[in-house]
Amino acid sequence: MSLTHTELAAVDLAVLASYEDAQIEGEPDFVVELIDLYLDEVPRLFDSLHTAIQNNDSTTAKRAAHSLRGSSGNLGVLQIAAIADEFEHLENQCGTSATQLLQSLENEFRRVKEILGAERQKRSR
Amino acid sequence: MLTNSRQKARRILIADDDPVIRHMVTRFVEMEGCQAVVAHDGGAAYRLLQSDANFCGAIFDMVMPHIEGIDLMRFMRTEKRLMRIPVMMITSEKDLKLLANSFAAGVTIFLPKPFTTEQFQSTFRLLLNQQTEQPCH
Repeated sequence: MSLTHTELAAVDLAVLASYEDAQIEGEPDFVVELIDLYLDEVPRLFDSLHTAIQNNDSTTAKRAAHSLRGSSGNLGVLQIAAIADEFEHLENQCGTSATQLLQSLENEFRRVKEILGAERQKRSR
Repeated sequence: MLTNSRQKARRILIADDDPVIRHMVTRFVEMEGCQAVVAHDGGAAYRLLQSDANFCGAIFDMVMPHIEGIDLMRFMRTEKRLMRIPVMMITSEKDLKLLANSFAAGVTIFLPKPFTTEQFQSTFRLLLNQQTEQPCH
C-alpha cells in the first residue's frame, strides 16, 4: 500500500478549463460554481469518514470514499481521487490504514484548497 | 459559450447525491436542449417517479444513499408506465459483476467516471436514441 501518490499532479487545471465550454452567457462562472461546490462538499465527506471510522461503519466509510473519488476525478483533483480510490478498496475501511489514508486526504486537501482558491480568484476577476 | 435560449421540450430525470456531478450533469443535459428534473438522491427520484412518468430519459448515479441507482432501475422495469424510459447509469464502479447485474436489471447505457463533456454528450445522445415510439415531453 502506498500512502503517497507523488507521481500525480494535485489538480489538473486543464480538466477544469474543459468545462468552460458549458458556460452560459449571462450566468455565473460555471467553473467557479463547480469549485465552490467541491470545496463545500469535501469537508462534509471528511466528517462522514471520521464518524464512520469511529463507529466502525465500513459501509458508510466506503460510500464516502467512493463519492470523494468520483467528484475529485471529474474535476481533475487527481491526488485526492487516487488516495480515495485506495481508501475505498482497503480490506478494512475502519482500520489503521484507513485512518492514515484519511490523514493523507486531509493534508492533500489543504494543498488543493490553495490551488482551487487561486483558480477561483483568477476566474472571479 | 452557449446562449440562454434553451429549448425545454424533453424532460430528463437526474438523480445524484453528489452536488458537483449533479450540477455538471444538469448543465450538460440543458446544453443538449433538454429540461433537467433534478433529484438529490435515489429516494427523491423514487418519490418523483411514483407520480410522474413523463421523462424521455433518466440519468442515475449508481451509488446513492437510501435507494441506489440499480434499485431505481429495478423499480422502473416493473412499472409499465416507466418501462419505456431509457436509463443512463453513471458510475466509477470497476466491479464487472456489478456492471453485468445492472445491465440485467435494465440499464440502457453506462457512463464511467471520470467523464469529459464530449463523453457525456455522445453517451447522452445514444441514450435519447433508445427512446421508444411513445411520446415524452
